[in-house]
Amino acid sequence: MDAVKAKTFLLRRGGERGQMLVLYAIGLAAVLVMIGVVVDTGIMYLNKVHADSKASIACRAAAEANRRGGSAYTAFANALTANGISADSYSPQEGTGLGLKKGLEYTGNSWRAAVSWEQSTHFLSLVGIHKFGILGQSRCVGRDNGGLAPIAVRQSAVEDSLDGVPPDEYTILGRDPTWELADVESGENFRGAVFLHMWCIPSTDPNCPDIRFFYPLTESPPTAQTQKKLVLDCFLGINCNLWPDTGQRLPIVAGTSDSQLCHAFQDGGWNVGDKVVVIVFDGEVYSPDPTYGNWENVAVIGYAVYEIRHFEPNDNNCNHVVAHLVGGIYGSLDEIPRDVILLRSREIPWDYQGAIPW
Amino acid sequence: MVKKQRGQALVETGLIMPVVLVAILMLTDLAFFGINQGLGWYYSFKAAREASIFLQDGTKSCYQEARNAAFGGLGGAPALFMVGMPGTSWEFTVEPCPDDSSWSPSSNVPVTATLRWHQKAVWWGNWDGDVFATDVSQ
Repeated sequence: MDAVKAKTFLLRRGGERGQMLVLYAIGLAAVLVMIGVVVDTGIMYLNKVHADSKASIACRAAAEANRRGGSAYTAFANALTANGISADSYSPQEGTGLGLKKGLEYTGNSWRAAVSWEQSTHFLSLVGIHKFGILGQSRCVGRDNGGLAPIAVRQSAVEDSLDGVPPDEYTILGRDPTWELADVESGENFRGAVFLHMWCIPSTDPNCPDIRFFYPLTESPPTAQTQKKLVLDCFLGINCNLWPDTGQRLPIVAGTSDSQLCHAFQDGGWNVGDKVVVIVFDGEVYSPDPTYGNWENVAVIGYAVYEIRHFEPNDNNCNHVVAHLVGGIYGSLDEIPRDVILLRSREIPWDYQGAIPW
Repeated sequence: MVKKQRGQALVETGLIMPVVLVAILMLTDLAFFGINQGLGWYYSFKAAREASIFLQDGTKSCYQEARNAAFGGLGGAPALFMVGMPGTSWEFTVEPCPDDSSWSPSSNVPVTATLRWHQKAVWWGNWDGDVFATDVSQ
């Protein structure tokens, strides 16, 4: 190497001092930006989960409040407040339909609820992105009626209907001179209604030595007024989150008139054409040994679905409910087809276009 | 002169790498806590929703159903980062939703699922989480 070349080489090497530091600085900045993207995107995703779940809760609360005759918006706002969502996240309303970004909207057959807010970024603010939007949305439908109705239908009637034996429709609630609600004479006090709030313990003992009471029932024995109220609540699907399993024995409702039962059913929102889930019992209304008390009871052997055909003698003077068997006998809640049972207010897809899938 | 520059890259790397490592490691605990926070929101939402629609059939308790809904398939415990080892803890409550198979819910009552946890720090900090969800019983 001659002297000139050597000098040039050494000068160049001298100019490369700190080059690695510069490269690392650039690399570090790139790494930090990537970390920032990951962290802030993660935070955005977490907030999206948070917003969606709270919108879901608020939507269903609104639908439930509405079906009980209360204010849907108040329930919506209360649910969000209870979950720590500030008022400016859901009010005033922004957008409508599929584009709803804030607020609550009823679209004819379903509710849409949306919450949104701006979330500050952390690392991305270093590159000029200071906020991103969080949007939580939920669409839901309210339950029209109760789940399991406090009605018991005898097994032979259900089986005959399944075999196509007439009549095609018959009374399931309230006395009907032309139709026996139970197979045997022991059913003379039976009007088709049972208590879902009172279970025999042990469930297999027809004498019902002990009765287990479920909320809100505390009276023993309950007055006729309380009976009517409980039955009405069950028809409404209120305070009746009870599903007596097969093998359980349930006291029959006595001391309440046909008219009261039939009107309670109507007041619960049941109309001609609705489908109702009922209990199937073996046909015998058991009268216990007097030393055990007077809880006449029936044994649950399954469930069936009926479609309401009409009220007799007419809608305004209802004494009994006439219905047609749709399906049964089901051994458990899980066996009941979802398209014939409306148990819960629930979510449906945000952009669902067809008829509401019951 | 050339000899003096030998190992320069190593020295510069040595200078900058601790900064990079500290930056990344500082984020580890924060990331674990953030993920746990999101999981906690999900667990509490699932539990509150289940408790709000609980049906009593005489064989199960509301609390167990809510817990199964939240942690189903997870062995009955929440999957959280840096939780489940000595020095850590978690607590899960659902109110009102007791572990009692003779209890039935009343309608239109707020039901709140709360998940609290203390996670072990990987590098720094004291990480205590507390999230909840309140649904309305049907």
